Amino acid sequence: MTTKKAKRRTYEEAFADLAGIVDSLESGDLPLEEALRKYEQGVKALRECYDVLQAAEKKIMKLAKDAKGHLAEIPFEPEIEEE
Amino acid sequence: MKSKPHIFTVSEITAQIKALLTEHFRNVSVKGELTGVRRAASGHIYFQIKDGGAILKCVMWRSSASRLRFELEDGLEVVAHGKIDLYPPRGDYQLQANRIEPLGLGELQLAFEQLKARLEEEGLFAPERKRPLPFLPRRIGIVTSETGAAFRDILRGFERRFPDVSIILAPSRVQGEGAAEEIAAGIGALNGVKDIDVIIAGRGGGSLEDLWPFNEEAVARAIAASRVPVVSAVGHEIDFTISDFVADGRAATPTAAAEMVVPEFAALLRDLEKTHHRLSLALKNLYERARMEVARFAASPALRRPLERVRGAEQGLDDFSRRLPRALTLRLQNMREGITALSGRLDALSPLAVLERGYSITRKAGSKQNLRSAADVAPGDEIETRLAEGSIRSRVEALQRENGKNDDDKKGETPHL
Repeated sequence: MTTKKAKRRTYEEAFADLAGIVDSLESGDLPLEEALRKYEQGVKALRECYDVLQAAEKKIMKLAKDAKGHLAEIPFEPEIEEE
Repeated sequence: MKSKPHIFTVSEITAQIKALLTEHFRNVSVKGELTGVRRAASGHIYFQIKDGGAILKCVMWRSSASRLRFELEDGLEVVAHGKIDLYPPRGDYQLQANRIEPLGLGELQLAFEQLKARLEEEGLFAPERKRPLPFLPRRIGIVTSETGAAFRDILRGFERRFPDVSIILAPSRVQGEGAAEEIAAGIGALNGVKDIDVIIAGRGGGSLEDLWPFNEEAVARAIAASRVPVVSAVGHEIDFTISDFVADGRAATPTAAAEMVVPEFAALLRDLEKTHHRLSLALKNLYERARMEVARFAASPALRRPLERVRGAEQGLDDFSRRLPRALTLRLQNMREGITALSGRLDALSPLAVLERGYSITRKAGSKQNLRSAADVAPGDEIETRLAEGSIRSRVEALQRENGKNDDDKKGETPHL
C-alpha cells in the first residue's frame, strides 16, 4: 500500500498474473497459507483488471497548431465534407 | 566566278551549329541505355544514353531531377525527353533532359521496386525490427485525412470492437505532392504525445498514384524511426506499399487496422468474468480443503488440547478476515477462509505436540520427508533430528533392520516418530 502509484501494471500484465494465480490455485498443491496469500494477490489483480476496463473512456482529439505554432490537442469535431 | 571561301571564327561556327541544333532538336525523345550516371553536389545529374552504335551526353538540371520519381541507374533502358544544346566553351553538344521515363515498367512501379530493394537491403523490413503491438493501448495515434472515409472507417472499427478508446488524430493530407512529408511529420508529432502506445497511418483505397505517399521514403523513414509501433493501413487488399513493409503491423483496410490494435471488449470481459469465477471457486475449494484438514486433525487422538488450538486458530481466522476487505467487496462467498489459516497452523502444530511428549522426527538433511525406514538412508548420510526443543544434526554410522538383524555391524541409531 505504501507505493501504490509506483507503476501501474498494464491490463495484460495484471491479467497474466491473475490467470497464473488461478492456475496454481486450481492445481491444488500449494500449502494452504501460500494458497491464501496467492488468493489475496489474485483478488488484487482481478480488481486491477476491472479498474482498467472501467476506466476506459471514449475520447477523440486531434493535433492542431495553436497561435504560436505549437502543436496542441483539441477535441475532434467531425466535419462532414465528403459524401 | 570564284569566291573566296568564308572563314569562320570558332565562335562563329559554333554559334551557327548551336543555332541549327537547338532549332532542329528543341523537343526530342531519345531512347537508350543509361550509363555513367553521376549526381553532382549541385543536384544536377550528368549521364549518357547509348545504344549499340552511339552515345549521347545528357544532363538533367536540378529542377527536373527533383521531380524524378525513380532513380537513374546505369543499365536502365529509358526514354529521355528534352532538347539538344551545345556548350561552346567545350564544343560539346548534349541532351538537356527535362523528363525521363523507364522503358517497360511504369515509372511509379520502377520507383517502388527501387526503393523497396534499397530499404530491404538496409534491413528496414527485417522481421526482428518489428515491434509487437500493445495488447491494450492507452491511447491510439492516427495519421490520416481528417475528412477522409478512412478515418470514419477506423472510428467505426473501434465502435464495434472496443468503443471506449482514446484517440488522437494527426490530420494529414494523404495524396498529392507534399502528402508524404505531412504523414511523416504526423508520425513524428504523435511520437511526442504522452501515453500513445500505437499509431495507425493510412488512407482508403485508390490508384497507385493516389496511394503514392505511402510508397515514399519520407514515410518509410518516419515509420522506421517511430518509437511507438506503427500499423500501416492503406486500403488495398492485394498490393503492398512500402509503408506496409516497414510498419510493425499491416492492415488491408483502415477498419481492419482498428480491429488490429484493440482487443474485443466483449471477449475481454468474458475472459475476466470467467477467471473471476474460477478464482471464487478456488477459494471455495480451499475452504473445503481446510475444513477437511481441520476435521481430520480434530479427530486425531494425538492432540491433547484441541480446543485451545481451535480457539487460537479462530483468532487467526478473525485476523485473516480483516486482511481481506477487497475480497469482501467482490462479494466472494465463504469468507470463513480464516479457518484455512487455522488449519494451516494446526498442521504445523500437530507434530510439535507429539514432540513435547519426548518423540522426535528425523529427516535426511535437506529433505522434507520424514524418515520412516532405515532403508531410506545409507551410512554416511547426514540426518537431522528434530526434538521438542532444537534439533540435532548427525551422520549415519550403520543401519539396523526392523527384525534386529545387522547388516554387517550396522546399528540403527535414527530415532523414529
